[in-house]
Amino acid sequence: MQRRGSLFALTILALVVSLSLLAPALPLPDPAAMQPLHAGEPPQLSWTPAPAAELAHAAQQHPAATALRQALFGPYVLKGLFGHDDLGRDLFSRVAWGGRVSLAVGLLATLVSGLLGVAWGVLSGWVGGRTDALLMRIVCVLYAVPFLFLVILLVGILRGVNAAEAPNRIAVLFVVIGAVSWLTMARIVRGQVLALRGAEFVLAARALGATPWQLVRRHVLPQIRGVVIITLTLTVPRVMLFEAFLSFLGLGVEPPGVSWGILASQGAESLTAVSTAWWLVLFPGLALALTLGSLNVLGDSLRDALDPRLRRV
Amino acid sequence: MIRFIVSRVIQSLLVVLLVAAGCFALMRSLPGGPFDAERQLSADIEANLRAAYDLDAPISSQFLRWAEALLLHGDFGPSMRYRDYDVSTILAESLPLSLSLGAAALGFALMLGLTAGAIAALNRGRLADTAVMAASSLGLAVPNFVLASLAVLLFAIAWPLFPVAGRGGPEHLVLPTVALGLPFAATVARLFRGGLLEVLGEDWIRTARAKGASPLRVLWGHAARPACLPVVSALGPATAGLMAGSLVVERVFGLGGLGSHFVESALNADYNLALAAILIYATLLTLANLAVDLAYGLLDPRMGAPS
Repeated sequence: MQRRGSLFALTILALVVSLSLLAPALPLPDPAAMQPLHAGEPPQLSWTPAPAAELAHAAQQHPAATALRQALFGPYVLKGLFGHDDLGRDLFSRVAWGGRVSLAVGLLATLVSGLLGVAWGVLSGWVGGRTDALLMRIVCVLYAVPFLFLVILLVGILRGVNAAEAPNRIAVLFVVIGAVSWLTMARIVRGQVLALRGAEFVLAARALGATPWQLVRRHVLPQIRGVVIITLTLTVPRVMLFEAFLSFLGLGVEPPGVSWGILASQGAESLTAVSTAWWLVLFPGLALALTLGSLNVLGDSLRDALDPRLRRV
Repeated sequence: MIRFIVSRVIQSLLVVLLVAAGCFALMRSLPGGPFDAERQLSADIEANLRAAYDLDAPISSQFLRWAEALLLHGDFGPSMRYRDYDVSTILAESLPLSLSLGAAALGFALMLGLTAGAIAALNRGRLADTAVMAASSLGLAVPNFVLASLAVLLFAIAWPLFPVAGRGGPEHLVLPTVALGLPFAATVARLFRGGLLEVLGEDWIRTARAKGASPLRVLWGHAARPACLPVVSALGPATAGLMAGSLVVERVFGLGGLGSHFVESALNADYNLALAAILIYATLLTLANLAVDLAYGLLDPRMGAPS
């Protein structure tokens, strides 16, 4: 049962990731191109040759990918699978391209949080004593700080600054989200390192004259690899949700950039009593939910498979 | 126990104070300010505005004056964006709505989550269990704002049971409550199911059954208390989650609660309003964490006073 569930999750994840990665090579319209004729059109599939100008534009921006696309699909373009938004932009193409940003933010921010958390946890657990007490005290205090609200405050205020002074918004997102989500990782790693420090094989290596750096690198880090991978897998969906959340509030990725959060937000805004563009809400939401759900399922089953003791952490 | 409570309260106060001071300094030292978005003001007018809102003194003395007004008079100062409005007036208008929305969502989530978790645990491995677990996986994966938009689409537009948006009677709060509470209900259901499964295998549950207690009495009278420990420990993060969720849910439904005001104030660099909102959030969060720690000690005597 569990096996089947995680295989299913893995399949969905592979689909979503390859859709996003391959977006430039797929026969899709430009995600920013407005087609007034199709504005607000519900899903309605069409498979027609694209005008030469459109292909030339694509070739200019992504030469290699467009060459591959033309070799595979010719001049044809797939339109309207998920419908069009109120400006006539193709939603399927926007979901595919938006996935690139959402996934990139998720992975990079997770990497930032992983590096910080592992370094902090190893330092704390390995050195022990007063350093440990101090470092963990800091983590404890930071847990109590409502970071989410601080982040919103900071990003909001930084947004007002004009573009020349302001740092790159997406880069800010990586750093901010990563810096906020390393606490759990630090705690888990510290616990593991603390247990490993007294293990007999570490003692043996120490007796053979290994330096602390060698001990950590050769004997401790490989042992905690499983736990770190599990925690990272479970961090990715949280981080992606956070990005979507910020983008939804208008504090994350900025239009005309696309991410799933932006698309969901535009879908929500389009809902009024007079217009019911259900596809603008449903498809971005579905993309987010499927990806986050798959990552959760995958993380849970990895945890159960690799380390049942962690169930409650 | 008393010592534990006192030390925790002091620690919480310190965190809130640190957050307030940190935000105060950060906001004022970042580039940009409350009077930037409008057309360029002449230097004299801007200087006058800065003086009127006490933005021209050194940050430390600004902070002392702000803290004095707050502590001695309970005054959060004027809003820097909504002219002629005090922050306190805005809070009086928006805070009750947000609090009642949060409380309703929490209550809804607990009721639904505990019931579903109990049903799943009692039918372990059967259809009901699988259904509850699948539904809760879904509930965990669908973000709040997607849920809120879908709820509007289904139950306000396609099938007009509830109003699309706006403030008003209790019917305006039904969809926001559900959208805000559902993800947390999913968490509660999972945790309670897990807790129950662990407890139901214990010897003293068999004893209770053997002496003839009815299944419902065994469940709620004997098993529920230890089984809800994981749920209780999730209440702290849940409070944070509910507050965060209320930011987007209030926006989707146009409720104009504290959440909407907070986001707006961050975007507008409305320092006083943003600071007041942060303080309220930080206080609520630390209170929730404190309550959880206390409840944990009461529910599980083995824990004693956690250190």
